[in-house]
Amino acid sequence: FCVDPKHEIMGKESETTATVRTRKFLTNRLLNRKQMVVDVLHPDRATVPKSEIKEKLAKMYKTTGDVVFCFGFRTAFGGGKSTGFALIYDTLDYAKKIEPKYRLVRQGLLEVKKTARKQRKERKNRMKKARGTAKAKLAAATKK
Amino acid sequence: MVEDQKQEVGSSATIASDLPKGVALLADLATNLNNATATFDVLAEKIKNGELNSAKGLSLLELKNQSFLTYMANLVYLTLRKLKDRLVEARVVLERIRPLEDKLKYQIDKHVKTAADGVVSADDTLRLTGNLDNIVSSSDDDEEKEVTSKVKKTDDEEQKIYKIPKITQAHYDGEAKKNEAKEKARRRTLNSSMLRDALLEHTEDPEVVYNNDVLKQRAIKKRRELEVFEEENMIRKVVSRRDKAAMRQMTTLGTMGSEILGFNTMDALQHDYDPSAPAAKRQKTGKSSKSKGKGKFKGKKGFKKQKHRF
Repeated sequence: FCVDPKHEIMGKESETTATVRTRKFLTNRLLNRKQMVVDVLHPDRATVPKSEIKEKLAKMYKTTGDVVFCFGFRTAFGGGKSTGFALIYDTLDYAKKIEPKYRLVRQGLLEVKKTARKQRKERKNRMKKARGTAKAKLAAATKK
Repeated sequence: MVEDQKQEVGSSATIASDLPKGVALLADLATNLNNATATFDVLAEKIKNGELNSAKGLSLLELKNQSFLTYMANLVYLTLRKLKDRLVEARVVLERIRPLEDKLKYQIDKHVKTAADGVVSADDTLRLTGNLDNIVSSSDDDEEKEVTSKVKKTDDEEQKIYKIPKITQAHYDGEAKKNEAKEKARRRTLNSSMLRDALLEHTEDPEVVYNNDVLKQRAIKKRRELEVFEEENMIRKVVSRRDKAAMRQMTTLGTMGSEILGFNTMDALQHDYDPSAPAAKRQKTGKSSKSKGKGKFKGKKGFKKQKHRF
């Protein structure tokens, strides 16, 4: 039974504890980040939310929580263990440059403004009636 | 045919006119070469002996000499290259022709034979075609005329339409496929569980008992493969429903039934096995078990009787 250096026990949040273990650790110099596979052991507990895992990883690697991105968590059949991936960036700037938009939105670093679906469809139908330069004018006018 | 003959005659005429000229030229070439080599030998001797020293001479003439020499050298090189190239080209052409000749061997031989004999042999199989005119129904005169005119038309049309001549044989791959099927069937019987059990008796290796069934192993292997891929590339692959089901496969009678219950025959291991032919039914022979037993007992009884006689 080998002692894993990166081994953190969580408590307080729930009745039973959960263990976060990292595997396949790799420092990606090209993308200025550390990437790893995360194993979470949580017997008698539902799947641990990503925010919790994020905090624990930040503590393990002595960084702030906003540069840690975790994703792809899948719980094994029967429960008790989930596996996912985590990326820890050197700085927030790099993170904003490199991470895909949806993950930044999840973290709350990016806001995507989306008009209502109904409005979008109405706009499209209005544009269908116009042709050529009139269409371009209409697009500019209706665009917020 | 007539045109070809005419062309041949024309080319042969030109050849006939050019031939004496060519021969004369060759003779000239030979004599000139001899003269040239003679003079060159003399010159070479002189130069070796050092009689022609041009250090104190006119530099312009020296330049002329040198340029002449280089010109000659380059010219010789060019002619050599040209000759060489011609040779190589001719050789390549000949080599390419050889396989074609092999393919057309039969046709060529036949044509040569006809040309030599002057008469087509009576039992030439390719000339045996049906006579279309005789297939006409003899019910109506008009119909007959129509049919004959149609036949004429098709003849003309045929002459205009280009039909690919069936000179070479088309490649037939049936043999290879048959062999493959045979091989497959052979492998299938050899790797069947029945034969494996039978062979287990005769090997001296220790018997290994695996925990998992074969099919489950496959599922486990697949899952492991996927896992490795995902962890390597830090990406979650979308697994289709079918693949998911395949990964979660359990060994049931439905999946493994054929192996358990199927009694493979050893036919595939025979030398003359034909996978496409229908499987031979096991025939009930005249000798049933009853008669065999009777025969056996007879022999034994007989023997015993003999013993008693002693």
